[in-house]
Amino acid sequence: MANDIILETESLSKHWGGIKALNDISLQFRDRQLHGVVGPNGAGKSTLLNMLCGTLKPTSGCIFHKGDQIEGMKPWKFVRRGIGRSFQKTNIYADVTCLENCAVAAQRRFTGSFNLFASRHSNTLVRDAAEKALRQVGLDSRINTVAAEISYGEQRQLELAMVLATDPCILLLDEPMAGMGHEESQRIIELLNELKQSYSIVLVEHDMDAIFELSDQLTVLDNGTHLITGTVDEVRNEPQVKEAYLGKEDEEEAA
Amino acid sequence: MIFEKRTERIFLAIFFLIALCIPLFLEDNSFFVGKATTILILAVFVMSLDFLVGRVGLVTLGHALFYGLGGYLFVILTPEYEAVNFWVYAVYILAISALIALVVGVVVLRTSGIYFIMITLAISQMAYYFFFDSLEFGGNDGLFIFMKPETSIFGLNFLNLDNPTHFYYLSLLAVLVTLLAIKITLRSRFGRIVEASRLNPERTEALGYNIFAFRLISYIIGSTLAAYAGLLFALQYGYVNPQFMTWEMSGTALVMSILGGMGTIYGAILGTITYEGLQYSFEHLSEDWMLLMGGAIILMVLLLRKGLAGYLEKLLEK
Repeated sequence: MANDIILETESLSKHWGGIKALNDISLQFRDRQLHGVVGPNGAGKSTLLNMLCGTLKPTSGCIFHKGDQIEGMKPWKFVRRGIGRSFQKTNIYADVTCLENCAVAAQRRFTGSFNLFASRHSNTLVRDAAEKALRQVGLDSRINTVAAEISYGEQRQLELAMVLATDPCILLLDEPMAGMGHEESQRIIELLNELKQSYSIVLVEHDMDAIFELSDQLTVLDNGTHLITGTVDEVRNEPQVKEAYLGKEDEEEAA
Repeated sequence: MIFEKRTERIFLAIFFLIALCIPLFLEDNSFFVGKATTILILAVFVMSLDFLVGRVGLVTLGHALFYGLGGYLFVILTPEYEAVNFWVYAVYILAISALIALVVGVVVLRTSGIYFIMITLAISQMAYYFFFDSLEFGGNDGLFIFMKPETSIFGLNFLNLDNPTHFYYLSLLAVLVTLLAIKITLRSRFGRIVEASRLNPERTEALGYNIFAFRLISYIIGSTLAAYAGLLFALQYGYVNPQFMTWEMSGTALVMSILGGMGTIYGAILGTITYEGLQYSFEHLSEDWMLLMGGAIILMVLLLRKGLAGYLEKLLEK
C-alpha cells in the first residue's frame, strides 16, 4: 500500500567509544516515497545507511521492517526481506560481465544457490531478470562487457542495477550520483523519479539540487543528531537548517 | 562445456593421452610407474588446494592435515590382517573426513586473511604433534598397512592394488574425477556465488548470500578431495606417518599450485609435474640440489606471473 511505513527506526544510536556517530534517531520510511537524507560530512548519513542494511549493528535502539524487529539480524537476511543497498564507493565484480554481475544478484530469487551440479547458465529466469535490471538502468548495450571496462558513470548505473536485480521493496542508495557528470546525474535523477513509483527509496546524496527535486520527505542530520524531517519546503524554511548546513555550504561556495 | 579455455582443453587432451599410454612403455620399470603414480596422487592434492586458494579465496597453510587424515583413517578403521573392500572404505573415510572438515571449517572460517593462514597452520600442526607423540598411532614412525584392500565391485574384480600399473590407473582416475568434480562445482549455481564471494565478499553478502555457508561447503569439498589423495598415497607406499601432515607438505603443494598458475585447476597438474620433474633432475645433478631447485622456482615464478598455465594461455589464446 502506498504510504505505509516499510522501515522504521526507534531511538537508533551508534557510538564508537565516546564518540556519538549517531544519536537517538527515530525515522519512518514510507512505501513509494523517496526519503532524502542530507547533512554535512560526518553527520552520520552513511552510519545510518549501514545500520539500515544490517552491516553495522546499532549500539542501542531498534529497526522495524514491516513491523518485525530486525536490527540484530545478519546483513544477508536484510536483503532477503527486500532491503537492498548500493555503495558509496563503486562495489561491483570488476572482472566479470555486467550480465554476470546482475545474475549473481538475481540468482537467489529463482533457484537454490547450493546446487553444485546445475550449470549457472542454465536458468533462463535468472538471465532474464539480470537483463531486465540492466535495461532498467539503461545499460542494455553493455550486457556482455566486462564491468571493469565500462565508464565510471556506467559502473554507478551497474551498481544500481545489481540492487534492482535482488528485487527489493526498499532501496538504500548511498550517493548514487557521486563523481558523475551533469548528464549522467540527470539520467539517474530521471531513473530515480521512475523508480519511486514502485519502490521505497532512502537516498543519501550530496547533490542538493537533485535531492530537492526528488525527495518526498527530507531528513537533515548534523553531527549525529536529527535536526528535522519534513517536506522539501518545510526543511528549506527551517532557520536551524540554514544555519547548520545550507548556510555553511553557501559560505563555502562564496569563498 | 565445463572446460572454457582452449589452452585448458589442449593441455588436458595431451595430458590424458600421454598419461594413459605411459604404463604401456614402462611396463617393466615399476619405479617410474610408481613415481608417475605419486605425481598423479599429488596432483589430486594440489588441485584440491588450488580450488580452495585460487577459486574460493581461502589461503590455507594446513591443507596437509586432510592429506594425513586420509591415510590415518584407513589404518585406524581397517583390521590389520584382513583385506577390506577399497570402495566401501573409501566412502567411509571420505565421509568422516568431510565431517572433520565441517568441524574444523566452522572454527577456521570465523577468521579471514592472515588470521586464516595462521589458524589453519596451527590446527594442522596440532594434528601433526598429536600423531607424532601418540604411541597407539605409531608416533614418528607412523603405521603400516599390511594388507592392500581388494577392489571388487559387485563381485567383479578387475583392479589389483598390488600391481603398480593398476594402481597407476586408479590414481589417474582420481585425477579425472577430481578435475571434473571441481570444474562442475565451479560452473554451477553454487560456483557462481563462491566466485562472487572471492571477487567481492562485501558485495556478495549485500546481495543476500550467507558467504560463510558457501565457504564452509567449499572447504569441505576441498578437504575431502585432499583426504582421498592422502588415502591413495598411504596405500601406494603401505604406510602413513606424521610427515604426511607437515606444514612443508602444505607449503610445497602451495608452491606447485602457484607454479602451475593459481586458480586454473589444470595448472595444478602442470605445476605438480614440473615441480616433481625439476626435483628429480636436480637431485641427480648435485648434492646441493635444494639450492638449485629453489633458484629455479624463484626464477620461474618471477618470469611467469600467472604460472605455467598463464604462459601457455598467452601463447594459445587468440
